[in-house]
Amino acid sequence: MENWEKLSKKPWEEVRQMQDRKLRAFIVNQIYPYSPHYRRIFQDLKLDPYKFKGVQDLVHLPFTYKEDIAPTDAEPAKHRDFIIRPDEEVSEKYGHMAKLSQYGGKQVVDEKIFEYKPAHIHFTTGRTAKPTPFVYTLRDLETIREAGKRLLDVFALSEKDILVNAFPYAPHLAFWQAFFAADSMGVASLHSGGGKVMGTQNLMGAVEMMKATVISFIPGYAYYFLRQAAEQKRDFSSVQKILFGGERVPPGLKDKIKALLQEMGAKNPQVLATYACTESRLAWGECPSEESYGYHTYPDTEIIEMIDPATGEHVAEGEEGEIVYTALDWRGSCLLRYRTGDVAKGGILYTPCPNCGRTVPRITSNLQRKSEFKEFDLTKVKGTLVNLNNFFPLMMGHPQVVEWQVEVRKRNNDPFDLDEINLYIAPAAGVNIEELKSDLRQKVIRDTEVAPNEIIFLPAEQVLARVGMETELKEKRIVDNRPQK
Amino acid sequence: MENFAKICRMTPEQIKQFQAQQMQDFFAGEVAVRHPFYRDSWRETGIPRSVADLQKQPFTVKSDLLSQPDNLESYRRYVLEVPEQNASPKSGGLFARFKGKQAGEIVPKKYATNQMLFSSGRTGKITPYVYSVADIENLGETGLRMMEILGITRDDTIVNAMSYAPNLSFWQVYYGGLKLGSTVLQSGGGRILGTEKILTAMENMEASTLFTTPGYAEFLLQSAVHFKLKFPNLNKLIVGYGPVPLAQVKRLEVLLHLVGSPDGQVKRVYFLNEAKAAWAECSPGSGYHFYPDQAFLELDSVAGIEGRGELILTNLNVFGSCVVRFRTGDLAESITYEPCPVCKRPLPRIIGEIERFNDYKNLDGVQGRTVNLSSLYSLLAAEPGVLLWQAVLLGEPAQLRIDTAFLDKNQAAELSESLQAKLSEALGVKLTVKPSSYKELVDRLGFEKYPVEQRIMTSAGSGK
Repeated sequence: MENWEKLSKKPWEEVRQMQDRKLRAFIVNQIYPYSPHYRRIFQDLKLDPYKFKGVQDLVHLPFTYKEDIAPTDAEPAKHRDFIIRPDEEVSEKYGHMAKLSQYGGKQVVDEKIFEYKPAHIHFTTGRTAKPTPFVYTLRDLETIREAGKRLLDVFALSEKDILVNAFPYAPHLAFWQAFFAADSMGVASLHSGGGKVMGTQNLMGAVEMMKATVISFIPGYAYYFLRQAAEQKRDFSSVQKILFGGERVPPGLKDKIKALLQEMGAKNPQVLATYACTESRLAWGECPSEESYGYHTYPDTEIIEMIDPATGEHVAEGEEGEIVYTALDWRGSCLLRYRTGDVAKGGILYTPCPNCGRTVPRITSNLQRKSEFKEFDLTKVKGTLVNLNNFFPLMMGHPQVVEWQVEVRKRNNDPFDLDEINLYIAPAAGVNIEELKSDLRQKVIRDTEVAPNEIIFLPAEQVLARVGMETELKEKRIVDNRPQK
Repeated sequence: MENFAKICRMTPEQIKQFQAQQMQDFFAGEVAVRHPFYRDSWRETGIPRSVADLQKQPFTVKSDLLSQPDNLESYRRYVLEVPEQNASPKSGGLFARFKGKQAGEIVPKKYATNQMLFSSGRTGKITPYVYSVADIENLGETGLRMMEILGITRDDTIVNAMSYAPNLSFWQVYYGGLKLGSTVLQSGGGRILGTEKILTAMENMEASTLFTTPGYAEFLLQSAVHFKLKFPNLNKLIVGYGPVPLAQVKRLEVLLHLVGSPDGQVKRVYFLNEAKAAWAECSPGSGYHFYPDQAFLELDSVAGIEGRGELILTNLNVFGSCVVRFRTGDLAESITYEPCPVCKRPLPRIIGEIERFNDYKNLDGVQGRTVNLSSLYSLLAAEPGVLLWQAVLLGEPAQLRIDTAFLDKNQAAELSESLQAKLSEALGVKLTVKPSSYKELVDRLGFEKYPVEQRIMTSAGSGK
């Protein structure tokens, strides 16, 4: 990997040249010879990997979709075709080299194992397909550690910080990226496993006991956790930064979180977000500022394209587009032109960050997930497309909403009847219920273009139980309970 | 830490001398200088210079390590202080002395906190234990030693199903696997990934080695048998973080046979959070091999319990939290410095089943008479007709009830009766055996809810 200090100051043109160079080498030396899936693609399309000039030639390759990788009952080991692995013929060659090596075959073998042998595995959450394993070799673990260090550098953390990692434990990226980041930067940490593992009370005790300066959270759990802590008048005066991951962060939620922290004695707390997907195998963060200047990427470990989701054509800098990810110089599971399904409203920016001055490409932070554009039969005219993403900023940022859940169901539970959208709300104390109901109804229509069938007010505990705050890996904010036709 | 191969070439006498020297150096060079509690306490009594001196020291107990409500940072009294950043190095050889400040900065790094682990999960009072940068590096080394003793190599594919918690069991396997370079799935256990996903992963990965708790291992393999899954590659099942009597090892071997691994081996590991290392047996019953450069263990007799003593731990060469003469609450038969009869390594070993002192209960109110509830693990593991069980203590003085799921449900009444007689005689106490359904017990034991299943319940409300 490149020196981050230098890389983040290089002019974009130089960075692009470096990407061209790295991509050529990666395709010729790793992807074409050792990736069964992409070798097949190169052969089927009669593409000559040696004629690959750089990033501009990526368009000759087809996109990779989630369904290309996710295991199915018929093909449970599909993901293996995306793992960079020298085949038996090549292994033989290395074995032979090892035997021949005058200076000790063990070292040669160790190097190959470091580079290619899977050592660590993450899974996708499996919301839209079966959980898919993504493997890291020991070399990749060095990459994710370095990426973690860069992430904390972007967040302006130092060795003096104390981190409570409250991401729920799972073989998922969020927990492990926080772990590798803290470990490589030398930040004292508690990798708690979240409320499900340690219990919310114990976790609050740990924050106080350790005098944590930074807490990493899933946004929904953070709000719940800090609300409880504020109610118990905990002393969180040491907390300076909250790092979010695993989900999008609506702007209104940042304000709510800051207010809660200030209530518990924190001075000028900052709430910062990360963006990642399992397929990218590392996370990117935004630099500390009141306004978000986007997620700072690492151009030596990936190439980010921004495309029109409908046509697949590139969009211009700063224009809304779907994020397409290509791995650069990784080993283990490597994807080229992967359609993330995440749409960046402000696209990608190549200008230096106005806040921190880093020159790396930035993905703008207003993200929406394509999979949450759902088709509904709300009227007799079937197939209305509703953007459920819009519930997040609305509900998370609403000052009078404490907890919430959206349920999509069929009227009378009949698979052939119309769809219904119900809203379960735990209101803030002392709120006029009728006024809140009317306000929510208007805002939901404004933001999603559909009217909720019912707005049901429940005590916070009941809504928390519905969303599975301490029992689920990710809380269930939008549930689709429509029976299958 | 010392070169492991070198330690393994020492004679028992050399091991004892080596350990005594390690202790002397560590006490004088680190504990007496940087440990807030022992430094103060040794100012009056002097630094222990020998094993005999050590044995005159008072015990440290778990409550000493807890934070006090009025001073949340009081746990730091048992954490070695980080030397000043620009302090000139006391050790480190020529390089350190010549390089002055620059080398001085290298020294504190190993004392810096890397991770905070806790010795209890959701329910108990959490006891913080600080692992420094050097402790984490050592965790890799002790993990590698553990793998070597267990016969696990880089070619093994491992599923780490130790329940995730910020404690030693999960992280020891993680760092051991990483240092070894094996392929490892860090599943987090049943309550994180769920049994179905763990079984699927084991099948897809063709796992050869599984690390988990003994109770969960049994449940997982029973589930595999039920769903007719086969794991022909699974040749090593490593269990720990809960009592594992030899009878249960046999039982797990039978289950391995039933899932298609007739030559599968079951081995045991003893995880003690405060020890900052796990100690493994090379073969069941050979004793838990511990490391003379990393821990010193004593056995202290316990009133009313014959043939066993409480393990007393003294950390050696640790740099975060550190304890001297710590009462572990775990009982064993003896400690030996004789070379292992199986693997021939000259490492000292803990002999006998590890039992919890807390499992010795007074049930009938007769003063001084205790019943060893730990022995239920062994007695019930030896019953092939018993699928699952949970002991429930009801009322005051406590009445013992064993809720049991039998393999042959039709014979449950008769089996309960005979088991009741057998257990009453073995424990010397009146008890009842109540047939329960497998499903109900799975739920109550909480294999997918708790870090370790709730095998012995003291709450009267828990039973039906």
